[in-house]
Amino acid sequence: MQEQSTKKGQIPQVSARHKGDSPADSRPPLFKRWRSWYLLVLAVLAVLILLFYLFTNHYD
Amino acid sequence: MSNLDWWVMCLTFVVIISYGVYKSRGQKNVDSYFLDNKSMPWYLILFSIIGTQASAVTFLSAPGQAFTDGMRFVQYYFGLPIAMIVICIAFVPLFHKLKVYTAYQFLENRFDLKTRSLTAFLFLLQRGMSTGISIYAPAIIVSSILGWNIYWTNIFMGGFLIIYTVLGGTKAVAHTQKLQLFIIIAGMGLAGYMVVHLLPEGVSFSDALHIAGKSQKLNVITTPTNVGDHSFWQDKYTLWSGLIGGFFLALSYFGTDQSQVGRYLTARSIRESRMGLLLNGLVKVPMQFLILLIGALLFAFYQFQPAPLSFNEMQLHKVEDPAINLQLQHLQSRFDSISLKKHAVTLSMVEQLHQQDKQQVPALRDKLNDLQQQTDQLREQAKTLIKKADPAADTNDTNYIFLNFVIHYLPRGLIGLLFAIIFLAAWGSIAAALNSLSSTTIIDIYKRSIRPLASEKHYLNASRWMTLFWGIFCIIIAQFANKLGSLIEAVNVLGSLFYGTILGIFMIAFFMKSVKGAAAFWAALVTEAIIIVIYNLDIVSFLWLNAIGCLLTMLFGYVFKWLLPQNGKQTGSVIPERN
Repeated sequence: MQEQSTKKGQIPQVSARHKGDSPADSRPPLFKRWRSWYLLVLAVLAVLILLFYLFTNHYD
Repeated sequence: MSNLDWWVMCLTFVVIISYGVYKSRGQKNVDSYFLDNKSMPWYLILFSIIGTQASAVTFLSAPGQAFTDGMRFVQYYFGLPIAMIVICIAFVPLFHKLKVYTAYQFLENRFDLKTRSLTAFLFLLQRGMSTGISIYAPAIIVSSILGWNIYWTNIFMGGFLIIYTVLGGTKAVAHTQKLQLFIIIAGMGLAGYMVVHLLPEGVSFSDALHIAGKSQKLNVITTPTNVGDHSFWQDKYTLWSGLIGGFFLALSYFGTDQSQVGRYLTARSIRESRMGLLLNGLVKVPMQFLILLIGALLFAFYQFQPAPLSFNEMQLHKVEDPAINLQLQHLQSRFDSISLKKHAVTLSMVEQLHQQDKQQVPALRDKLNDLQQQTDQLREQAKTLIKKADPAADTNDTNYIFLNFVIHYLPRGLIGLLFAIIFLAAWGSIAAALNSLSSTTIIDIYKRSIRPLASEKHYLNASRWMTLFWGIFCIIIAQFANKLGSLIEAVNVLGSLFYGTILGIFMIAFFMKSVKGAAAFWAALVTEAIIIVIYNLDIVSFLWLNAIGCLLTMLFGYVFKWLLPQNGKQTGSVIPERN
């Protein structure tokens, strides 16, 4: 595997798809879009912070 | 340790090392050595990411941190899930499309060679030093238990993992991390169960939580609002510093630190990389909460059991001055006497909790906290005496709290397993770090600037030698790590000194299209100098340094854009395609 040669200051463009870059390989599991996964991660974090807050108050 | 413990520990080591060596077959070039030919599925990426971040420091220091300062340390990880999302959107597609070995290769495409080299150098400096601490962390266990010389223990400790890391590269690292993580989770689960199991009869898990909570050890969420006050910025672990400072630290660590970037670059596709990172975002906070909970439960446990004046008992035994020894004995007897009172008050509080007497409980809680303050003062006095007897002594016993429990209270066999998992956790993160130090040195410096046209076999051999070199370098750093206080903090402080600047360079690369190499380079240098000054002046807690470093680099990048001559053409689109 070699570095792509490009003009300085530019992100190199990939001329051909490489292994694992096909649309099927980029699709997320379970959901249709990656955005749903991102929202799930944020929602879980928010719920955890809320639960920790209640946990702190309950045992203080 | 008993013979059974030694057998369990040695057997675990033999299995891991053999497995690592077995998995090291088939390395033919740097592609397979550093990227495993991009073949790894998401679950291996996940295990590798967790195994790289969760070092022995995590399992040694975190319970001790909760024991002394409460569970608020978990807030430090709140920015991590958000950072995972940003990395999945901005970093992962770009790194995959560029087919890079290291994150820093991208910087030469975007800026110039000197910016790439500077960033690689900052990484090597920071990662080399923090890996030294990661070697020292498990070494103190062996030196504490067996009375071995810490310097020889460091050498002994660093040697084993180098075997399979040098031979097998990324593939051996990832596969051993998977096995290590299973053993670690099982061992820590058993340790947590044993803390609760060993509580006195009639004291339940819920009672233990109440005892810890009444002593402010379950302070998981802290939300100070005194923004104008100096203490707000110096408070290390709050919801705000965790979300903001933790976000910048995690973004920098997972997005620009080769020890992590090197893990998800090995994924067979963008999807596998993203899934590994996102699942890490889901499991990391609960995992850290559970590790800290063990420390909080240990605090409750030691309200019923005699605790030593210092959890680093070897340090106490080392005091030879008879006069100081006498004073320590006097302190110990006062400490034992107060501990007995604490025991009685804690039992009364548990009884009142069972009877739901809401008037008695606060009074007993105040009494318990008062007694706790007295024991804390005695422990401080003991530290002063130890320091007086031996000025070079490490009196910070935070890292010994969990070990002290393991040694004195766990059954035979389980002690060996617990010690083994601390070694394994250390090996997982150190192996990944050595692999990344080697890849950055070879790809970003040796292959790029020193010997660009050698054969694949030459680079493979050079990579192995470089892994060995960094292993030895980190062992040397480990020899000085005992001067750094709480190890988990020392690692994070070191990271925070450099991460902000490195992240700032990447942020300019991604989002400030008009800023060129010279401006980015000088912005990074000036920012790094300012960050070191801020740290020395102790103006803010270290977590804020990540955000300050990143924002200052971006700001100076913008300023220097106008001050310095602009070379090269206008940049192209630097934002990768989003899904």
